[in-house]
Formats: sequence, C-alpha cells, structure tokens
Amino acid sequence: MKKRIPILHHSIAQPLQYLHDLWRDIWEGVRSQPGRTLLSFLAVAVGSVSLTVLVAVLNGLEQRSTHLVRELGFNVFAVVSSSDRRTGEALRERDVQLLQANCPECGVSKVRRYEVKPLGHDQAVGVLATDERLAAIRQWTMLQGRFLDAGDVARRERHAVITEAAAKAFRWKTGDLIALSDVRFKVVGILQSTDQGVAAGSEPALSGGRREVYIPDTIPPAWSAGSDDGDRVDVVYVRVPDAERMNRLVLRTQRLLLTRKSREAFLSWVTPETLLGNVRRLQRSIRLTAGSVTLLSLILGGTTLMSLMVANVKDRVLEIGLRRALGASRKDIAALFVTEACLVTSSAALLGIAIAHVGLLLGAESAGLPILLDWKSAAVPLLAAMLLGVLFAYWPAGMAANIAPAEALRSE
Amino acid sequence: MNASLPILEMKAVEKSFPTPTGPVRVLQPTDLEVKAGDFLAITGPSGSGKTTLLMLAALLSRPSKGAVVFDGDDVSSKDEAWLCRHRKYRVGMVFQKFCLLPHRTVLENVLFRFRYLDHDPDEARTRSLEALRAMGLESKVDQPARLLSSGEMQRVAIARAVALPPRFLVADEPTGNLDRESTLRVMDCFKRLNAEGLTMLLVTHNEELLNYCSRHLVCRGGALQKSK
Repeated sequence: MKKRIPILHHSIAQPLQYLHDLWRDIWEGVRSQPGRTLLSFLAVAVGSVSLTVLVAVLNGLEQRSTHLVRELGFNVFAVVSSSDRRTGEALRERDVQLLQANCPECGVSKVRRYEVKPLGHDQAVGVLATDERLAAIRQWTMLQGRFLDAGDVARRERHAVITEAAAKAFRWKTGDLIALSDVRFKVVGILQSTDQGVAAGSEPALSGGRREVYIPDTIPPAWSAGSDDGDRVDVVYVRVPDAERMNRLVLRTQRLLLTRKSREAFLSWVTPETLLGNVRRLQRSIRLTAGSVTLLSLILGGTTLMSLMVANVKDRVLEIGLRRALGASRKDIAALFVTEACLVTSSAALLGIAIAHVGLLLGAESAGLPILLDWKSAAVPLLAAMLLGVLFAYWPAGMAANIAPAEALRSE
Repeated sequence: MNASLPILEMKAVEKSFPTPTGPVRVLQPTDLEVKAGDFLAITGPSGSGKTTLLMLAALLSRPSKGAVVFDGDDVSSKDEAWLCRHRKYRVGMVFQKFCLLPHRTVLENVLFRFRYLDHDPDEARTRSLEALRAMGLESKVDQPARLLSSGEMQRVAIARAVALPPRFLVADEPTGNLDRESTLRVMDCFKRLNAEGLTMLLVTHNEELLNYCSRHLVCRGGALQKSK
C-alpha cells in the first residue's frame, strides 16, 4: 500500500485527460438510449437546417436592400410611370422640364425604355433612351470607355453604352458596331453591372444589372414603327443634394406631377425608403412563417431531447450513485447531463448547418432566393442548438443532481 | 498512525425517512466508534438498518439527529463540498452490485476512481494497474467489465476503491452476489488490505465472514448491539 494521503501531480496532459473522460461519460449516455438519441438528433438537425435557411435568406434580403439602394443611387429617387395604353396617360418630356425648372438644386434625368432584338440574336435587349446626365445621377461606374455625353445627345450620334451583362451575353465590346433592329450604333462604353441576383428582383425600370443598351434620347426610335410617341418618359431620376431634403423634394415633385387624380394610378415614387420598406415587409413575413416552422422543429427536438435525458437519468441512477460516492458534486452530475445534451444538439446542428449550406449552394439560384451564407448562418443555428440543449436538459439534469447518493446506490 | 484515535464516531445518531404517513425511523439512537486499523463487521437481518448506517459512515447521507464525526470533524456542520471532498480522497466504497461500468474495460473501471480528482493520468494508470495486480487481475485489464465473473467484478470494484488508498473502506454486502470460492477470495483481499493498515467497515448478513474481522456488531430493529 502507498501512503494514505496521496500526492497527485498535475501534468500537461490533464486537459486532454479531462476531454477524454468527458467524452467517455457522454458516450455512456448516448449508447444507453440510441433510439431516443437518434430521434432528438434528427429533430434538432431538421430545426437547424430550417434555421440556417432562414438566417441565410434574411441575410440575403438584408444584402439585397443595401444593393437596391446602391443600385438606385445614393440620395436618388425615381418617378416611375406605368403608362396606360388605353388612356394614353404617361409621363411626358414637359413633366421632366417642369421638374428641372422647379427643382434647380436637383439633378434630373429620364429614361424611355424599349425591348429590341439585336440583329442576329434571338434574345431581346432593353434599349434605354436617355440623356448625358443619367450615369452621374445614378453614380454608375464605367468598366470601359465613357458614358453618353452632351455632344452625343445634341448631335444625335448613334452611340451606345452597354451594360456589362449585355457585353457578356452578346459578346459586344467597346468600338463594336451593334445593330438594334436595323439601326447601327457604335459602342462607346461599358457600364459596370450591379449584382445580377439583386437586380433580377428589383424594380425592372430601375435595373442597372440587366442586358441593356443606353442610347441618346434624341434619336428617333426606328424600331417602334411609329407606334411610339417620342416624348413619352418611363422613369425620371432625381438626385437630391442631401438625404435630409429627400422627403421634402419627393413631396414637391408629387405636387408638381400629380395635377390630376388620374395620374396617381400610373405614377409611383421609388425612394430608398420605399425600396427598403418592401424588403423589410418580405423579411417580416419570412421571419414569421419560416421562423414559426423553425421554432416548432426546435421545440419538437427539445422535448424529444428532454424525454431522452429523463430516460437517461432513470437508466443511470446507479451510475449517478457511483459518481457521487466517488466524490462528484451535484454540479458535476448536472454538468454531465447538460454537456451530453449540448453535445447531441450541437452535433445535430453541425449536420443540419452542413446540409443546409450544401443545399443552398446547389439549389438557391434555381429557387430564385436571395441567399447570403456567412458566419452568421452557421453561428446562429449552432448557438441556438446549444441553448436548446441547455434549456431542455436543465430540468432532467437538476433531477439527476438531486438524487440522494444513498438512494441511488440502493436502486435496482 | 495512532491506533487509539477513532476515524469514525457516531453519537446518538438517528435516521428517519419521510413517507406520506409521516417519518419512519430506520435507525434508532446509535453510538458507534471505528478506530484506525479496525476491521468492523456489522451483521443483521434485511431491513435492520445496516445499509443506512453504512451510508452515514461513508458520508453519503446525513443523520436526522445526533452527530457523525469523521476524522475529528462533525459532519453535520459541514457543507456538501466538504462531504464530496472527503468522499473523493478519504472514503472507499465497495457495493453488493459492484457498480461497474459494463462497457468499459477493467482498467478503465479502476481509473474511474480518479474521475473527479485532479490527477496525473500516468500516475493514475500506475496506481490502477498496481491495485489490479494486488487483486490478481493483471491479465484482465483490457477485458470489458461485463465479461467478467461475479467474483472478478467484485475484485475490480475493490481495486477501484483502493487505487487511491482511502482512509476508510466501507463494504456493503460485498459477497452477497458471490459463490463460496469467490467470497473467500474477496475476503482474503479485504484481510490483506486491513493487515496493510486500512480501516474497514463491512456490512453483511453472512456470519461465516466474521472470522476475518477484528470486531463484530449486530444491527437489529435499527439499533446496534454487541455480538454474543
């Protein structure tokens, strides 16, 4: 026999030993209830898939809102006309002149939109007749060449500026001659596209990320075959000097343009606030619906976990007694069951997160969902699962901790 | 070691358990003294309060009345942490049901003695192997505990209890599930440990084992009496 009062030395291997002991303890519990463990594992994994998708979509929408504002341009609002062919109501050139005259502190530009098939291509391209101020107002960046200038507009030069998306789709480059219907234009510049995924869901008239060609609005639209009235305007862009004056200037333009009740039906004002408002509404409804599903799955996982832990405690009463006899405190016993629950939920969450990430990477584009996978889309479900483990194991762990060691050792 | 100093003293100790019809007194006012180096046996019929007494001695429960003094400290005034610490370092227990972890190996079961101690893994392993060798189980160290015979299981449990030499070893019906040959082997182990200086309290209903013990008390109706 050795000395009665042992002297035990600490060593560097101790943390590893601790983890090893912990793992063995937890494995003891998992193997005692494999069926229930699998059930709670699956329920938490499903909840984690759902939560990961929810976080990724909400992140994606948040990113979309930022892109939308950037796409519209900082301190820019748009007056969009949904021209009514039956009544002939539309925004007109005189409306733009009215705005320019009454808002001298603002930059004003306009766009008239056509869909035209380039010669030799089956796909149509958006042709936007505009003036030289548009790129500056919307703060666009040129990828190559230049935007239309005052000379192009004044001299009715057949110059065109194309978007990056159009350049890629039709393999056009600066200096090329492109035929829109049967009219030839020289490409003088390529606009840097905004995010295609973002542009795809935004207001069509505002999009800068699509396959588009910008031409001087002074050139008669040969492709409309006389059906088009030349002074129609689809969108007017107004850049205000600073954000504080945005609301006041929006109201002023509304007073100037909404001269008749009937105009309210086809004119709408798109401001950064309205763009964000749409995204926020979408976020709210997704949070409510997908959030409810997620919450339900997680609660289901949690209750299964709780029943697993209760069964586990009942199965391991004798072992609990042994641990107490060997010096484990109540806290040690509670920690054992809480850690076990956390490990089950965390590993289920990791599986769920991995499945969700792979699924979203493979399928998000075809589903047309705005998705952003970042650290939050992994951290939030993992933390939620750990919290779930703690919450739902708390009561069974307390139950285990409160078993009197003498009673536990006498249990059958 | 001073043999005259008691390791355990019970002074007018009573133990009652609450029931829906009121508390049931399992242990009548009892006095007991276990001195260092003793090998005390307590016998008695089932339900006489032997195990309750043993749980009090092993610091696994507190008396309803009276005082339990362990190594000079009155247990009644100590908190849970103190009891845990003393169970960890000073008390070894052997149970009738062995209480082994069936899926772990023999060595892992003995190493479990160190689970709640700050320990050096190498030293714990050395001590565990030494305890297993002393129990004649060196050839079984890597065998899962569930595959052992009852006698071997009980010797593993003893090895676990003494791998970290305790001040006081309590054994609750340690031979209750064993055949005669295994019983004798286990009792030989106890005898050897006692001869090496370990103080022991054995609870049993098998009066054949009394030859191994230095003192004998009988528990009847929750009260301790000297043997005739």
